[in-house]
Amino acid sequence: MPKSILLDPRIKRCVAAVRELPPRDAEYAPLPESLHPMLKRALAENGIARLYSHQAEAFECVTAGENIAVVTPTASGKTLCYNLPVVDSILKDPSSRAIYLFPTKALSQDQVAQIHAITQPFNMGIKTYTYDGDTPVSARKAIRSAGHIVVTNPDMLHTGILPHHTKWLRLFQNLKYVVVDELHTYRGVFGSHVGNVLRRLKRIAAFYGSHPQFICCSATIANPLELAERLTSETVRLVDRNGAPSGKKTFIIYNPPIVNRDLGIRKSCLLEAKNLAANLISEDIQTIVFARSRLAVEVLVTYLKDAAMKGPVDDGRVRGYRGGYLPAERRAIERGLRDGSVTCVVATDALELGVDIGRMEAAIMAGYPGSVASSWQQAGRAGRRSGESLAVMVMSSAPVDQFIAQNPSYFFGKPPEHGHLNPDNLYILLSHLKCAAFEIPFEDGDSFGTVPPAAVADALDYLADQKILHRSGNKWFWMDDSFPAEEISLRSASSDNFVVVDTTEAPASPRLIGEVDRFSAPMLIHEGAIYIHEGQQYHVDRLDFNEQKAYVTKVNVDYYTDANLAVSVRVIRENDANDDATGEAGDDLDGERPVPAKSLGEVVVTAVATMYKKIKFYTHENVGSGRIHVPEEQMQTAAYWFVAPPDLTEGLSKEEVQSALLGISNAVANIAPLHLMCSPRDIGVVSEVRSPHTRLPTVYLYDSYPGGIGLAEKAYEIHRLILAASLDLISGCPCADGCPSCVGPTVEVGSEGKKLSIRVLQGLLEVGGESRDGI
Amino acid sequence: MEYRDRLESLRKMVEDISRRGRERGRERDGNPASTVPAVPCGRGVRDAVTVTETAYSLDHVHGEYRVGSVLSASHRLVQVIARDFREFDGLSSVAFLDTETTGLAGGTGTLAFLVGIGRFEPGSFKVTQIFLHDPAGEPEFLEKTSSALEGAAAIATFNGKSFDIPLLETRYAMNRMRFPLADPFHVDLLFPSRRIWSPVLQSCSLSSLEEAVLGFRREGDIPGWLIPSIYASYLHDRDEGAGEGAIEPVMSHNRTDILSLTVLLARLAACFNESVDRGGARSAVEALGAGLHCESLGLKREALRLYQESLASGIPGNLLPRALWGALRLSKGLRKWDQCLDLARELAGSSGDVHAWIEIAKHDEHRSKDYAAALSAARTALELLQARRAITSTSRSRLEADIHHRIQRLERKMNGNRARPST
Repeated sequence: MPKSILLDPRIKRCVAAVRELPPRDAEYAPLPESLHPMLKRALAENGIARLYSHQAEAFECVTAGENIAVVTPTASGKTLCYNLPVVDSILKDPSSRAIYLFPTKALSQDQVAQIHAITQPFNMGIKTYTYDGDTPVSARKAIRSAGHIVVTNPDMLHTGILPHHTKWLRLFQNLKYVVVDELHTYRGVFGSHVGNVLRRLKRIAAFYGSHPQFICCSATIANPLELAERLTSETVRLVDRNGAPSGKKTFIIYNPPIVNRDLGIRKSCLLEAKNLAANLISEDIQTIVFARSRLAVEVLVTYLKDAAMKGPVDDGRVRGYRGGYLPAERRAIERGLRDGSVTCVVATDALELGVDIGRMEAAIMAGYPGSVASSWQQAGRAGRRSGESLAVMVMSSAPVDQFIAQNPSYFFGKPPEHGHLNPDNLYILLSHLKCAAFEIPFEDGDSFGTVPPAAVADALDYLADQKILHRSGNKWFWMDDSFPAEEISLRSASSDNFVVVDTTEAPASPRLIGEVDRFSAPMLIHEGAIYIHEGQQYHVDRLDFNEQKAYVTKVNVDYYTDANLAVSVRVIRENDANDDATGEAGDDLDGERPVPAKSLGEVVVTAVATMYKKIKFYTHENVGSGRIHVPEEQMQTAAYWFVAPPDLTEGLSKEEVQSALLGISNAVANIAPLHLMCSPRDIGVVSEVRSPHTRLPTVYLYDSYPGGIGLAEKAYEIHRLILAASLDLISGCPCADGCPSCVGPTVEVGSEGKKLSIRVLQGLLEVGGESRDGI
Repeated sequence: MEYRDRLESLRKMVEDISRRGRERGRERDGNPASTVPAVPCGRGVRDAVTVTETAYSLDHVHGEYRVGSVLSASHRLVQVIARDFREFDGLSSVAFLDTETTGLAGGTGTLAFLVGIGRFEPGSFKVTQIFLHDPAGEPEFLEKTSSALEGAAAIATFNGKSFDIPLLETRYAMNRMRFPLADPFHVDLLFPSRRIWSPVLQSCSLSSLEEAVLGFRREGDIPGWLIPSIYASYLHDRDEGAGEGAIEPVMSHNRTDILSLTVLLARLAACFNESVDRGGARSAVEALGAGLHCESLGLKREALRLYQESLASGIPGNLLPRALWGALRLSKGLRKWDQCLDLARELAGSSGDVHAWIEIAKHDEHRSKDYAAALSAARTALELLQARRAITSTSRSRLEADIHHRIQRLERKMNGNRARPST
């Protein structure tokens, strides 16, 4: 019984909240009358005599010609929601074709196995293939002409299928269904890209005379319908009445004990998660531990391997799982989880998705995963089908974590986040208009998804000015010696990876051990860094930035490294609309122009990794540091900013203003994602004591994606709500003078940081004289 | 600024090359039977597509060869080179085809704007070039390409299997039309050229082959990589009213490619059959390449003959083992044991080849039944293997185990002989 760990009084003391989620009974519906008899037999063979109610509803809607978005929890039999109508339609008309889209390759392979379970025993003649980067060239031709169901990922669709659509004639002429599983992952910049990839897909299908229906499936999020409709540019019907049963689950919010009240320091959440997991492993309870970063995953694997080791040799019962592991390694870990030879896996959110790893009895989250939706997804890994299970969320000292630990009802009562995407982001849209023009020439009057013809024409004229397109008659032709899709990555960092090369054994025959995305490279594999892979430490001897290679050798040291990122912001354009500000913050120093209380505009963000610290294992003390020499990265994006008017900072020294700004920035950076319903990584917050743009103390909040995806804009709208919540966080924190859970550590913000932050925030909220709830 | 400068210098380079091309165009084309009509270019042109025909006499000399030389190649020889034994209607039905495109990237966004098609007619070789002045005229361009291919049942290209033909098929599909030749007899000269000349050439591009094999030097020709940008600026300048004659260098480049195709086919045929009209004798390297090609098609006797010729005519040392092994493989298949032994001895002697010593051991054990000699050969093989470190570990250990096994068996056999003295 996983719950038995709660009997330990040391553990019990730290429980901030417990929720028992009762088991729920199944709601069934009979197999649809119209189902092809062969499919009925195949279902019977798989032990399926009736459907869950949502599966039947999905089938009816799809048969009636509707696009649907199915939203039900993990392990509720979502795949049948699309496999049923798709297989049925192919049996009734063998020329029918379908595309299945999964966000990752791993999921595609899983999926094919599931369809085969239905289609193969009866030799239905339905051919299902994965088509991705791993598909051998020799097999591709057959897949193009004969595959009924092509299972792929958005990246392959983008570079490998759409730009070669003439080779997929059969598929596009007969395309009836496009299945988009894991809909909730298509958020932010990735979702904005994929929305455009689907616009291109529909355009090509229309060229061949087909108009596919979309079947989307999602984990629980706040706005699945809106997300599905923005992603597909179609009208979609929501199917969310879950008919699947679930077992009893205990969800615990665990707050590590305070070790230093003055500094507000609690015991490390990693160490606490490690202790909990070690307890479970010793009882042979299969456990998944989620950590928030790759580094945290590796540190935990190291600790847990130590704790779980029974003999002198590592028996492989504890494994890591994160981006950067090679595919074969991942497959082996997934198998080990299914067959029980792996007792504990430590993962990043890579395992949040529907990779089939069988049923886990317990899930431990080392830190709040950053969003309500992710928390439930990760908790859902435990007890997927039935039976009692345990989920423990171990809170860190981070402000949001502490906010939730102190207000658990906020977490349990909160709907999961919205999925935001903005397919009309100009950078992203232009990129895909290029790809679309490459695929089929645009004609006068063509629209693109929901982008109207006039806007499309403007963009195409721009591309023609760049001599990328050539206009002739009423058409724009691609006229450039390049392949645009290959230059555009759908994920901000996936195509541009650094590889990590181990030169320990033979400098002459180096071994590739992993990959790191470009954005993380300066932080993780700078020279002098300790790179940890599967618990093994490697010292980075050399980072070749141009070749995108890091050369490492195995080491065994008692510390890990943590890098600092220095970020600065420069305003390049301020929106005119800012003039109607809700209140004027005061005149600027020359008295010429009023500075609005809040502004929205475009900025250039410059980030550079400057130095790193060596941190000792277990004690986490700082045992040294070094400089990092890597080029800076620049990004143009959307930002919103607000200023502290002179009367608020009157009498404060420059250092004191800085203290207040740092404190406010820290609180805003942590609170804003809760209200913007995004991941903390999606935004950045920085401050300046005297901004060259506003000439006043200023705090900026920007979108962490080139061009922006609408987060700064939303933050601008709820400006006062963010300030009020930040004030609540800081003034409600039990610490004395400020701590990492509110304004940040006193060593960084100063001993007056908490008091000053509260004073400035209160002042800001009084400006305009509105009530605090009046946003 | 720097980017603009680079762009400007590129543009200037294109203009220079175009001008030189125009000046030299006629002299370089030598003595075609009919004069080359200049392509009408620029804004004055109403038609979106121009079709140009250029006829060459069969005696027109391209490099060191006559354009007509290929006509002496037999039907079967062409089948061997094409690696396709389907029937086709002889060389008069072959369309020698080459396209010029807006890029090398492939995919649906790359256009072919010039298709050149060469056909043998009684007494001449005629090159038809279909040029697209305006991308909007692509349907007409493809129709005219189809008519130029009328009567052709086979095609010859250089890398056309991977590039030109899939690209044209894509263009037809984009315009909801059908490429007129479905799964045609297609001799792609790149594959056999690579097989034959890659051991001695750095690159097997058409221009390298022209220089090294056909004795032809392109002078004043535009480099192929410039062609997409020449066409793009042609389209742009044409809109501005300029661009007259900018395309002629591309047309000429394309005609040169097609003439090279015919003589390259003749040159390849000569590598397989000495009787084909040719400039020089088949070299040992060419005989080896032709042998490998024939062997891959299962033409064993022909392959053996070619390997033997390559050995007889002084194959360079670095290729010698390949020729010897080729001859050994086929002699074994034909059960010519004595020849096998000679070849294995030569291999063993010339390069200390482990496998050759194993062949000798096999021969001594199974055919001459000289176990002592076999044992000694097997032991030599083992020593050689152990002295060498370059062989990768898995194949090495398997080989080593095999030899050990052989040695043990031989030792048993020898002991057995001793244990059972004459009865």
